[in-house]
Amino acid sequence: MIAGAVDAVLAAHNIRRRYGELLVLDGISLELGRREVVSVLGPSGCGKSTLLHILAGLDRPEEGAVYLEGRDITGHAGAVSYQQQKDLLLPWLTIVDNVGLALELSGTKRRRARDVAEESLEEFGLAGFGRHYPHQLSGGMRQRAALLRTHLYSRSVMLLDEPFGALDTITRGMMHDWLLDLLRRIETSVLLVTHDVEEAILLADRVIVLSPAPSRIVESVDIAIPRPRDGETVLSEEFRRYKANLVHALSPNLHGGGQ
Amino acid sequence: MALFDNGTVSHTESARSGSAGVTLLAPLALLLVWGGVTVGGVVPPYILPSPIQVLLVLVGRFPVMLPHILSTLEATVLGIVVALATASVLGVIMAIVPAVRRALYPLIIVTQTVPLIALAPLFILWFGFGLLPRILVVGLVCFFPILVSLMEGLSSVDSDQIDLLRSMGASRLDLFLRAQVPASVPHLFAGLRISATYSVMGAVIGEWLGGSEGIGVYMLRSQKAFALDRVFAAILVVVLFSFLVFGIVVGLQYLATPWMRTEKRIIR
Repeated sequence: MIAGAVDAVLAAHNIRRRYGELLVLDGISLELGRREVVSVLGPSGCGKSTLLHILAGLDRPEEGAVYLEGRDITGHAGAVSYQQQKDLLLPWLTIVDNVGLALELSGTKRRRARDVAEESLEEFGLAGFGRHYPHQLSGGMRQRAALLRTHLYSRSVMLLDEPFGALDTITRGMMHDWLLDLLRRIETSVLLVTHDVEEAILLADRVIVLSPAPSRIVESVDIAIPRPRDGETVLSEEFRRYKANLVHALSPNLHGGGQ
Repeated sequence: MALFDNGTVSHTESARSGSAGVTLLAPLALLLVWGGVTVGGVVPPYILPSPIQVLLVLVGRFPVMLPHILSTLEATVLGIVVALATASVLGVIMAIVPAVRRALYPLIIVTQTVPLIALAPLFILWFGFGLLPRILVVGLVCFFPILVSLMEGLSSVDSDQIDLLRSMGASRLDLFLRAQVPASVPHLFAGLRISATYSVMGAVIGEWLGGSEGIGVYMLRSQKAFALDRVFAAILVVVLFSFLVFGIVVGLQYLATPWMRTEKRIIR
């Protein structure tokens, strides 16, 4: 893979990162195309979150570089948007202000930020909840508000670190349907870290599998299941073949990581 | 507004219904026992005056007590304001600069370990018999809980939250103003509530140890005259006073933290 290829929005080139003696990321290179959704699968502790931290510019790799639209953004926070498992909405701000905060921090006037946030609420299934505080909303709604904030901050790339990991199965299924639908309408590239194989396949155009630390990419599978996809997709024969394939790719890693 | 629901918000409706009844029950029972033993003649009035007598004295002596009450109120309010201002400035500096925190924290704890009884006369020696030494006593008593809770609050922001704001391009100042300061407000009020309950007592102690005016002075004089009913009337004033100050703090907290007002989750 060549870093900074023409159609790659985000590219990571040969990322290496160690914590003390422990080598966590051992030369990871990946590319994210325009409007592409890529899932990153890996056993826990394999450095998935470290990788996202580096891509988000919150952490610096010892070696390697991160490019956004061909521009080196290694170690520069604020170039792409980043979301974690926790919604991390500020409890003292209303939903509109929480969502608008992303814009305010990048220099938009508060009133304008509010207007933009208000207009986007409906698309994210939050119409009528703009004046509410986060604690008044359900987990799924809070996560959608967080996604809206992420989306407003950067329209080109969203890094999602197990965004639905804290939700119950039913809510998570609803969020998958909703996100699949949303991704058809908005123009954005998504890099999704998850440990849920079905989620990885269902949402993505491509799934990357990482080995246990020191992590390398051991598998990269293009998911050719046609869109639109929905909750029924996971029942298809095609989906099951992908799942079997990926579970197999993960299993030696799981055994290897068990010491 | 629930004064005794511990000031923070409980999200359950059931905890609120009937809470007023329970809150009033214990004081009423106490009042009944007090009234029973005094009016019934079990305890003579020079040992313990009856609640009715205390109330009558309070009403009857009110014109005499009023200047004392106002004086104590002044010292209390100004003392809290001084404590709040000092603690806020110091708390912010100590939260931002770890070296300052390490240097000052032991000294600040020392100020809390020196007995007030020893300090108050010194204040009078240094600053005279006026309002200032009493304000300082109140300030000294109130300052510590505010400072500790403020520092706690300023450092209470989740590191993931900080990461997220940084990923959105937040500067150090942004993090401070948009995350640390608002996150510290509920903590600050927790400290203020403690200070509020101490404050009136602090003022009274200040007056005892050398004031010329105030409800503490009135109390001391009444005690020396063996006018137990007036002592009790003064105690009642101090209690009502403390409630007032506490209530004001709870009210301010309600205004300052709209997101913590009790509201049920709309959607589950």
